[in-house]
Amino acid sequence: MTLTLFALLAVLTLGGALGVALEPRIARVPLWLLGTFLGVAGIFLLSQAVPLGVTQLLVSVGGTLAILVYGLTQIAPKGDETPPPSMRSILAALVAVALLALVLLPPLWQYPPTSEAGSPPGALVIGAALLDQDAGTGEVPLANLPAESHLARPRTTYLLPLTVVLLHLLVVLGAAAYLTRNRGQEAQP
Amino acid sequence: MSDLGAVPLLLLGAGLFLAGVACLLLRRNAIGILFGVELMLNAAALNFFTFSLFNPAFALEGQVFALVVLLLAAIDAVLALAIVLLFQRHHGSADVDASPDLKG
Repeated sequence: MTLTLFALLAVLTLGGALGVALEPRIARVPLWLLGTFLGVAGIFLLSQAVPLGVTQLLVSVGGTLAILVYGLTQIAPKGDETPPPSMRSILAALVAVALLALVLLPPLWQYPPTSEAGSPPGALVIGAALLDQDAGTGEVPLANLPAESHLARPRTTYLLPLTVVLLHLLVVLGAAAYLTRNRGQEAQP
Repeated sequence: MSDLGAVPLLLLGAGLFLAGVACLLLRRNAIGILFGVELMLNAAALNFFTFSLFNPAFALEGQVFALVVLLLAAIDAVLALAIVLLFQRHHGSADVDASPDLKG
């Protein structure tokens, strides 16, 4: 059952990805990309990684794809006039992808085939790790340690990287709004 | 998923990444190139997730990194779209080969 579901999701994901790369009409590409996003979200959910699957659905399908479709509507009059790639470009792309595949694929077979999948941590564990707390008790583990062990234990918390990403998002949104502002309207009294 | 092993998931990630590279090389429309970047970022998130699944020491880190990659993909789309719209406003086309300024 799992194998069948995984095969279906893999076909959806890879089929969508090939459609994104090869679809001649740019206006239809978001539909193929939707297939890929849903396939990846399905694989996350099939592996019981609910937080990742839900994030993929909310952020990628609900956010990224919507932004890209908006972009397509903005450039649509010119977008479909882009000529198809030349034979030389197609050949160069084929050679580049084949060379990259030669580098990427052989190491995959060296991964231990007997390795077993563990159960992915749930939202509670991830959220507690982001706040550097113990998921069971809600306590901050660093506070319970003797003073001298604070130096021995690497003070790694995921709150800082997430905060940096969120601040990055805020700055980028401001920058995007600044870049795309309509200067013609600003010049008018 | 435990009976499947890591290789099918890694192969899927590699296939997704290669499709993204092909999209980058074949598309001349700037938004089409952005679609390829999104594919590659999804492949990266899938690989982080796979290694978190099959490497217990990386279980939490892999999921957090995959989450960060998904968020960065959204950020990337917003900023790249702003640049594409600006590019189209200046050059009258989203064709990246159309601008003589970008030829090295």
